[in-house]
Amino acid sequence: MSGVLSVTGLRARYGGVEVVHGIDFDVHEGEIVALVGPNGAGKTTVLRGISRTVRTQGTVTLLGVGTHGKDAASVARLGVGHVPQGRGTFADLTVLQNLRLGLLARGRAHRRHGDADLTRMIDMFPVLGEFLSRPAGALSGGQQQMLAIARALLARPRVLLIDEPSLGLAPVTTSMLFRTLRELRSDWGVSVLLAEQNARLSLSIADRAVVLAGGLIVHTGPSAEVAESGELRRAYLGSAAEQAVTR
Amino acid sequence: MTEILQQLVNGLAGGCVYAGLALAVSVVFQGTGLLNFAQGEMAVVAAYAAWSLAAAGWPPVAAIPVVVAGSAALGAVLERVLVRPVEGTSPLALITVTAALLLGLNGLVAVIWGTDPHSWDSPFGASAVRLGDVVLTAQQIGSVAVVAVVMVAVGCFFRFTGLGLRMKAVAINPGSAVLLGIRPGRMLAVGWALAGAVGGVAGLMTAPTVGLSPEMMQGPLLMAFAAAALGGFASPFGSALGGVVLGVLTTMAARYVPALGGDLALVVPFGVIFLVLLVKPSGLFGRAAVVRS
Repeated sequence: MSGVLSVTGLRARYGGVEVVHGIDFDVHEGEIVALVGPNGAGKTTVLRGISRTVRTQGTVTLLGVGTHGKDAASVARLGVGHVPQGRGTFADLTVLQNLRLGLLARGRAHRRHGDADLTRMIDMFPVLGEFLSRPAGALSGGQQQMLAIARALLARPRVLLIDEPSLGLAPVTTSMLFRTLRELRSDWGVSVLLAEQNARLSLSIADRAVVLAGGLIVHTGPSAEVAESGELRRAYLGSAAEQAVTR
Repeated sequence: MTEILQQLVNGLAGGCVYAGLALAVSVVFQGTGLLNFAQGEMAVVAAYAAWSLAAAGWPPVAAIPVVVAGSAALGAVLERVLVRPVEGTSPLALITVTAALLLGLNGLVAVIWGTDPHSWDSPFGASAVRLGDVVLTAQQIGSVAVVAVVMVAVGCFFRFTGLGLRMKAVAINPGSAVLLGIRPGRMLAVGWALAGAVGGVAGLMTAPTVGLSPEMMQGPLLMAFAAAALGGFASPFGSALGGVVLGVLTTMAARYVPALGGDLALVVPFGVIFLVLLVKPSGLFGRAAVVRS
């Protein structure tokens, strides 16, 4: 598998405090990578650094193109989709207008498939189809999460960064969401970097895991290996991962 | 009855001035989420520029497109040079910049063209049409038609075009818009350019009626803000319609409520706005912000 996203020596600071201390990892084509770790590990900051919504030091390359000196809009145009915590929907626009913004963001190569892809998204998230003319702000938290992910996917990114997708979602919704990600990884060849505090969930769908703690990578490996490592679970992943293995 | 119809026509024509400017105010609000207090002065610059071109022998058919395009360019330049540096600081800073722009442009007009009022012939000619005993001037018919066309065009732009949708997205949530590859700065410049063009049209429609002076748009701007509040700042159609309603109400009140002569006639439309906003704070055609979760 070839590297779609490559992160080398990434450092980030808020004010005078460095919160990510020079980390290296790759995401390969069609791969789902779980970025796991306790609260404050730096997961959200790493995603923001990749999408250039926070300033960082180090090198991030997407399909061999460096993002240094580029703004967040340019990085998005390179093929990085980012679903931030808090969803980031356009509350006053309708569901359909939110989805159209995703279609407008896609590259020329995918434009002629727009209608078919929109239909597919609505098939995957039927609730969005029911509320196409409703303002996004009127949707429930789970529905907004689906809308944010569907919108990001309609842009046909090469790499999708998703921050805490399970936050506030019912377990059944989360399962459906993760199932969708697995399908699209195969069908659309999108690579996914998933930052999720609930390690059990993310390890269950990921191919590989990057374990972060205190702004450093403490382990990288196949997700099954991380899920089975009692030491890692106890040290960094909390009770959720413990439960994953004991079940 | 004829008298009432004539007053209605006069009110509609006067309301079109407010409608045009309210439309420009709504465009900036839709595209940037900001109230532009300098919108009226930008229209004054357009009116004086057209007057200068006319004085230099340009026919209206050539002068008007050039002035409208120039107004769009002025809007984009003002956004880039004066507004963008304070974008993202605080709403108060942005309001202060547009208020300062109002004063600055007003002074600039006085320096370039002087403070003496000038008259300017209507680009639609001086003819009139009689419908029974009701008289419609070419200026009234022309300005109503132009404002209606601009209103429909602006409405279609925001409703049906990708650029219009991107502009609304930036105004609502610039942080998320960036993640979709949208450049907020570019969208804001387009918003100001569009508002500059629409405001320029409003200035050109107003000048033949009220005459040219640096203060010619100050009263209409106040009415335009009121119109946008009545119809909904986020609704170009509602804002324009609000302007027409205000024009009719003001004219009727001044004519038929004996105690409300002159500026006191403003009490009636503003009373109506007060009542509407009590019932529907987002305006008649505005949509209240919906936030759940």
